[in-house]
Amino acid sequence: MKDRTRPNLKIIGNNSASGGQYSDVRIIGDGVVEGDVECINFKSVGDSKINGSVKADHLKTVGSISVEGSVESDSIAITGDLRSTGDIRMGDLRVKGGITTKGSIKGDDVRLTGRVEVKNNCEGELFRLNGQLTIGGLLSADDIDIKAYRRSRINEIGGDRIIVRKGPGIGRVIKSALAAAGFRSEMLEVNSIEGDEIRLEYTKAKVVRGKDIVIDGGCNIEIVEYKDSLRVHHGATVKQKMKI
Amino acid sequence: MENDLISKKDLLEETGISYGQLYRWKRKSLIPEEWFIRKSTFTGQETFFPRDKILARIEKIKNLKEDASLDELSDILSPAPSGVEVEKNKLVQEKIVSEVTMDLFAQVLGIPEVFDFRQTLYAYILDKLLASGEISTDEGKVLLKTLDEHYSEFAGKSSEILFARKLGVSFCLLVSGSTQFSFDVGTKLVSRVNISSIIEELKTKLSNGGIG
Repeated sequence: MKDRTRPNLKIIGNNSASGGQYSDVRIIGDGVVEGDVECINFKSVGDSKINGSVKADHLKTVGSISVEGSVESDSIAITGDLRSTGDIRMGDLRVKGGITTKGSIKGDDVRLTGRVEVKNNCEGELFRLNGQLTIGGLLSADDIDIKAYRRSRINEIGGDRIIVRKGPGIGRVIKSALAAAGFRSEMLEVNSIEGDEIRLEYTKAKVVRGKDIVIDGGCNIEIVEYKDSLRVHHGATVKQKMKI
Repeated sequence: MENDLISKKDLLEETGISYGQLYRWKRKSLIPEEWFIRKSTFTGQETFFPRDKILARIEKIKNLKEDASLDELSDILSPAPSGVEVEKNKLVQEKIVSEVTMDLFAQVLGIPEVFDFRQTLYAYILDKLLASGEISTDEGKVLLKTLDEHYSEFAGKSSEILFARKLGVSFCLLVSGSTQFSFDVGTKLVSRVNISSIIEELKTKLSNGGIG
């Protein structure tokens, strides 16, 4: 994709253009691209909509971008909102704002802050998630560090090192009032978590399996299976512990 | 059936690998998605694997990872075609494809000086089936045509190629992985080849021959 002889595409204002192969694509304002786009640099400021897939060496958006198809890029940086109907494949992914995909996310280094909604799997080497998370499939990476906000839900988590921290909570008075009213304190709900080194806070899970496990305050776990060590904080509930 | 499966827990215990490794290998497609079999047990959902396949695979990964990176391994073990290009003569020299198969290949698809991975794969499958005596040369031609026309729709996925005969008439089927099927009474399944494992075999052969 290093062919510099290709034309550039520039959309300014409320306008549309057709897809194709370009060097640089730049959208400022309300741009619509009809069809698949392939380019070296994709930059958009404002609201852009691509009625097709996007393939770019670098993709950068300030504002919102909505893709009717898949997204593939070495690096993706979004300040704002990224939506796609297809899979997102990349090297590095940085999102501050929101990301929603009806497909999966696959990459190396993924750092997401804000609202994350992924229908299928999320795979990478490193995942840093900070926000309200909904992942319908498996979240799998060597190194997973999550700061979960209330009502986060992930089907399965698997990897080497897994840390779940509590996102910003609510005030103590409101919290005790809510607790009295039967509200749960957990931030993140997961079916199963499997890893070598696991540390959880404010997490509700059916099964946690691993080598060295620390269950910190606010957790509610049905079954913990551990190989080497297990520490359960007094503010956590573990129904069943098994050393295997 | 139960004996053929191994739970994830037992697998880790038996092979001494960690969760981290297992998930990493899965991500790198070193272990195919369809080997992860989910079942409900009294402790909730558990994952099982086909015992023989997974144990052999993990042994292989452990042996190979001494001198190859995970990405190189994934090139060898995943069903995705590699970017290898091989000279025609080299294929014969390295005994990957026999002379007879080459001639047949030339009759049907012409003979390129340099084989890309897909062409090498077709020739290799043809060679294997001919050598096994399961198909005739005429059927070999049908096989090549089928692969040439339709394999691209299956590339990167696990797939199988089947040969069946009924009353002396043969036909060839290309199906995607783990599909269940049955024929009518008079039809006999002559040959059934899993393309993913053939690709793995071929990639290993190529890299041993110093080509891959």
